[in-house]
Amino acid sequence: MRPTRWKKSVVLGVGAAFVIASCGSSTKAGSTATTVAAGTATTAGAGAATTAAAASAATTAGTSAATAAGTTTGGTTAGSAGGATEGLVNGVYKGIGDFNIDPKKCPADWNDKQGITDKEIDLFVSLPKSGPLAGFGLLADGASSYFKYINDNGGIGGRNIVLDAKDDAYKPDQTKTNVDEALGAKKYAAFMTVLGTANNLAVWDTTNDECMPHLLNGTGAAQWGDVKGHPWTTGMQLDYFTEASLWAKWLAKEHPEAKTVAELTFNNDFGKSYSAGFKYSIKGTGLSVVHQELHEGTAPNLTNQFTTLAATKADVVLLETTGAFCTQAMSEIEKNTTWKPIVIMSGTCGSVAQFFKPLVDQGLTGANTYIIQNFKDVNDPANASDPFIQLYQKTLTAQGLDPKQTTYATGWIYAWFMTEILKDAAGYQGGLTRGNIMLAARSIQETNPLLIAGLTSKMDGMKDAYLTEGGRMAKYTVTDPKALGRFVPSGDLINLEGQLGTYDTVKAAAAGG
Amino acid sequence: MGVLEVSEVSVRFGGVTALDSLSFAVEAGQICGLIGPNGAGKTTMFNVISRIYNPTGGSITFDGNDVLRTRASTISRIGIFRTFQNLALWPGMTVLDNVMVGAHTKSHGNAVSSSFRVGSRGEEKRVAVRAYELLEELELTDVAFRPAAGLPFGTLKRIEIARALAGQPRMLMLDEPASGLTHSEVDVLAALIKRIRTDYGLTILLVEHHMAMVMGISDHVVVLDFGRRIAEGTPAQISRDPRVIEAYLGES
Amino acid sequence: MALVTLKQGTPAHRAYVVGAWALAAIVLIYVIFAYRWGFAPGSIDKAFRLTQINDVICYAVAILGLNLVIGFSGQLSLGHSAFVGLGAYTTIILVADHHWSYLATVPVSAALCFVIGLVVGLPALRIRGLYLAVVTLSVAYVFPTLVVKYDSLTGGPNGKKPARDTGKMNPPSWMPFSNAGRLASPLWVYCILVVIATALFLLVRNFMKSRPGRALLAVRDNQTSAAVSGINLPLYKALTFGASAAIGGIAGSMLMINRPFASDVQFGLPLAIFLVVGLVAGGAGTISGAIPGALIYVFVPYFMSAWTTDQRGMPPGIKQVTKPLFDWLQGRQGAGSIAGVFFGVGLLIFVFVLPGGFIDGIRRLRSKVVQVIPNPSWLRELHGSANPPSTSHSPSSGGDVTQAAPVVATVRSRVAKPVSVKKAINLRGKTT
Ligand SMILES: Nc1ncnc2c1ncn2[C@@H]1O[C@H](COP(=O)(O)OP(=O)(O)OP(=O)(O)O)[C@@H](O)[C@H]1O
Ligand SMILES: [Mg+2]
Repeated sequence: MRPTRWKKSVVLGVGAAFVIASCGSSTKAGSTATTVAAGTATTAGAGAATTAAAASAATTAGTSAATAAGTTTGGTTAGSAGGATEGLVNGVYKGIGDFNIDPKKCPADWNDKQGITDKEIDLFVSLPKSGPLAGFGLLADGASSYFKYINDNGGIGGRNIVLDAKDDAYKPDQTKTNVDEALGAKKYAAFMTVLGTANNLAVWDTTNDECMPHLLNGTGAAQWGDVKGHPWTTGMQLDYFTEASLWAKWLAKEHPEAKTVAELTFNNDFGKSYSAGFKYSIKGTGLSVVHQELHEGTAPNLTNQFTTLAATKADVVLLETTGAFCTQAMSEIEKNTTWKPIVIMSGTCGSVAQFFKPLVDQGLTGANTYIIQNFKDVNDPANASDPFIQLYQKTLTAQGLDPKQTTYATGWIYAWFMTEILKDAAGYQGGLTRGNIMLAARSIQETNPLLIAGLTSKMDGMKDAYLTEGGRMAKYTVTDPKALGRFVPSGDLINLEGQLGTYDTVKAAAAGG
Repeated sequence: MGVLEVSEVSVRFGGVTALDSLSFAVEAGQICGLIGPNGAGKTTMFNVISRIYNPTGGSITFDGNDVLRTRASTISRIGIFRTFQNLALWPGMTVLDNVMVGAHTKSHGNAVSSSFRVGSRGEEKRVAVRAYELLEELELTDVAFRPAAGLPFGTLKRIEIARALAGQPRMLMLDEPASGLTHSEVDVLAALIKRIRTDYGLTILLVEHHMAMVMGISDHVVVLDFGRRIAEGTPAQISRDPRVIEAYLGES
Repeated sequence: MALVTLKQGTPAHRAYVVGAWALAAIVLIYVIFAYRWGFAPGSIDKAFRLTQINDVICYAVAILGLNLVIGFSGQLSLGHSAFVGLGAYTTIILVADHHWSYLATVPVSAALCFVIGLVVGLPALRIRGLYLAVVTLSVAYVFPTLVVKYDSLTGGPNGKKPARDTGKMNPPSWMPFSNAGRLASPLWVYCILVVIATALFLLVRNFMKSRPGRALLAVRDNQTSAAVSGINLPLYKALTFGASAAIGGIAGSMLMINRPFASDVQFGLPLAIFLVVGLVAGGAGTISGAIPGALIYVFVPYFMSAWTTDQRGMPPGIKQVTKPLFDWLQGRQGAGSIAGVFFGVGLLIFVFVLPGGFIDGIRRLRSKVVQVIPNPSWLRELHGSANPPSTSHSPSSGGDVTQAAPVVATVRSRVAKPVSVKKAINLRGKTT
């Protein structure tokens, strides 16, 4: 008679659901996770399935031939030797490219040496270790693996780099909680590689107000070039705006016959960023956008959009979307027998297993779809002789990690940049301080050894706030229609290093059309 | 003219005809016994009057009100209250609270006045006192502050009566109030029913299998079998009626 | 039996009640001054911890609202996260885009959520149980997609926050902690939230202790007899949904006052489920259960996650036992999910041990120490004014002074009850 029975069954159900959900999500994540471009996942927003697919598929790992890589100790900045001009001079941090920091503008209790001792440098990352996108969590393990390698080889002037990772399940509010806690703990020198556009946007005002270096964001949003408004925040990935600029350059050079372009655009920041970048970069070329179809994250399919797009008979179609929409879009295009445009797709949909496999199951292939790549694929046999990749393989195996798991490699990319920043900062006036870490982060000159040979990764203070701005088009090539194909380089490398400048350019482009 | 007029009421459940064109009347102030073998349709009749079931035909008036055009939640406002054969108390609440809810239609505190305690305290107190007095009257004060859950069947039956009385009924419908009681307890209950009838000026519709009690206190008896009225009259008339005897014998 | 027996209304009982309230007040006030007084258990003098405590207050209010629907009216509604989200977005949009003050948005959230709650509650008039659960769950599911769809208003997946530098609430200078640096803002928020939450808890308590509250419980426990007693079921069900949603909306506004950032995923299915978990773990159908429920919601996953990340704070014995597990998990995909597994398993154990929730456990424990014999003020007056007591009937009864009534002693306990002296109607039934 007591009304406790229904309560009990509710809890039992919920409790069981919890355990199942937890297990379920980890298995799901376990099957995926290859990424650089984590940021895109935020933009999908069409429910967990789409988001998960987007995230897990996101990859910019290349398939290219081997290159002579830089070494981990490589890299020289103008003054990393004793007589560096950068650093703390007369109470102000002076970097290259007019980038300066006045510590008086920081909170009164700001500590230049926070998180930095003679033995240790403490860094913090918030990223998903649980939930549908838990696979990204390995990025922190990958980064820690590289730091361990550095520490085993002397660290940064004898200091060990320690990266504390906290789970935010890819939820921006949880990221904010984690970051607030990490700020309050007053033990970190810098934050690095916080994953997700929304997640970083949720915290960047705070990190900047607190003068906390908030570096190498794990997302391709163009905002991270906002050096004026958010001097303490930097990105790492090729941003979507620039990626679309690369499309325009490639079309102009490799396909001068193509004139008309149709866009399929995800109706959010992510999709619009591509669109703005493309329109910005076709000025003065013979290309023109004849039609743009927007779609929502809740769209059940893209059939209507493609009926309209096909009617334009455009020479080129741009797939400025992500997640399952990529697969749907490729399928719609391939099923159309009369319209055969050049298809260029977001680099976030580069995972063959995730986005092309479902096409094979439908009797389609996705052949001849183009995407931009800028990092090497550590699993490509063609890269086997690359010394840095050999080092990666050897180190991970020695540490008991699986080098085939490309998320670890992505972790290495970020950790490599972080290590170079710390090394550079140590050589500045005033030594390794948080102010100098920020200066160094804004003046990276070293080329990441995992970048496709010929590309560069540079920052120049207030003048160039984007780290990677180049790439190479690759074409999805299929030999057996029943099997998966692979990406084959198409055309020359395009490097727009330093051309985008800062986020102001992007804002102006978006405002101008 | 009776205060309750039931005329040609029929109820069907699929193939079962629970009430078949049933008509009867209850005079104001009477105790009217409604008897019949198991499954005769007595409880169904109660459920029709309290608007839990919809009849397929017929009409019911209570003191000039068309009962069938009244909703279950407003039937109490025309003065009809009841108890349930299988108990329908609120186990999570205390006995006192159960009885206080019985006075729902006789109080007015609403969500706003109650939450902000504006003008609702006097009324709350009045309702509580009245409910407690009813518990005293039914000798239930020792369980007043205990949850209804877990109390013995007989106690719960009395709580139901107290709850119904709290609404200040004009007609009380009692569905087998004596079930589960011992002989001496039945006598006490019979006395109680008679007393509340007089004290509160009630009309009582009584469903009961305990023949001695029904015959002892009813002014008028209606006998049902298979949803039809088979006899009607004073207890003395009924106990001599061959159809009634047959119906009961046929059953047992 | 209990060690101490207190009769309601006696000085001892009064001291007990006042003492309990005073203790609660001291705990609440202590949080404000912990940073000065030096003794700060659980590092409540840290801004981050204060923000978490503020979260607890917000979620306690959210659970309080949910309790109205699930605990008190017995309708399995799983869509509460949507109302919390609606309240949160109402506040953040008004603050960020229209420059309202935070507090001014609270009534707007409440009113808006009340109306939407009524609408969502409409199906509840027709369907019950699991069907209602499914319908409301879909509301919880749809809310984040609406946030994404109307991104020009809500900020979409990127979330919404007020313009930089305008997000914080700072205390007026007369507050004793106005110069407490980084603690000033969270402490001020704490004060505001405590006031709002206390008001809401008292309102719900008053409500539940009066006519409409009892009617609500009646609807929960037996709809048929509730209707027959004159309770308007549709009205009560709909109003409950509305009120529950309004309180949920206020909780959402409070969350934004504490941490001015809203995103779609924050108010999705996980929150919907967690609120039910908090409700049941705290104690469904109890008002105070919302507080332990919120504590569990905010702190258990937090410490679980901390433990499973670096085993910080793990008791030494357990640490040895679990070490192989964590070593094995290290570097595996989704390793963080182990916290969820622990939480789920812990919840299952908890429910088996304390099926009535935390508050029920506390009450059982307390009943071993203190037993309060109910004797409300009206009862004392009733007996005080007519001693020897008489049963005065309602005026319509015409009075019945011929009967002796059971004496006060009947309230005390069943064992102590003297044999009834009532001659006319001895209707003890089976109680003796
Ligand atoms: N809700 C229902 N659905 C289907 N059949 C019903 C329903 N309620 C009652 N009945 C049927 O209607 C007939 C009359 O039932 P009712 O409960 O009115 O009998 P009763 O006279 O009260 O019997 P008892 O003395 O056993 O309580 C029975 O055959 C019963 O099975
Ligand atoms: Mg019956």
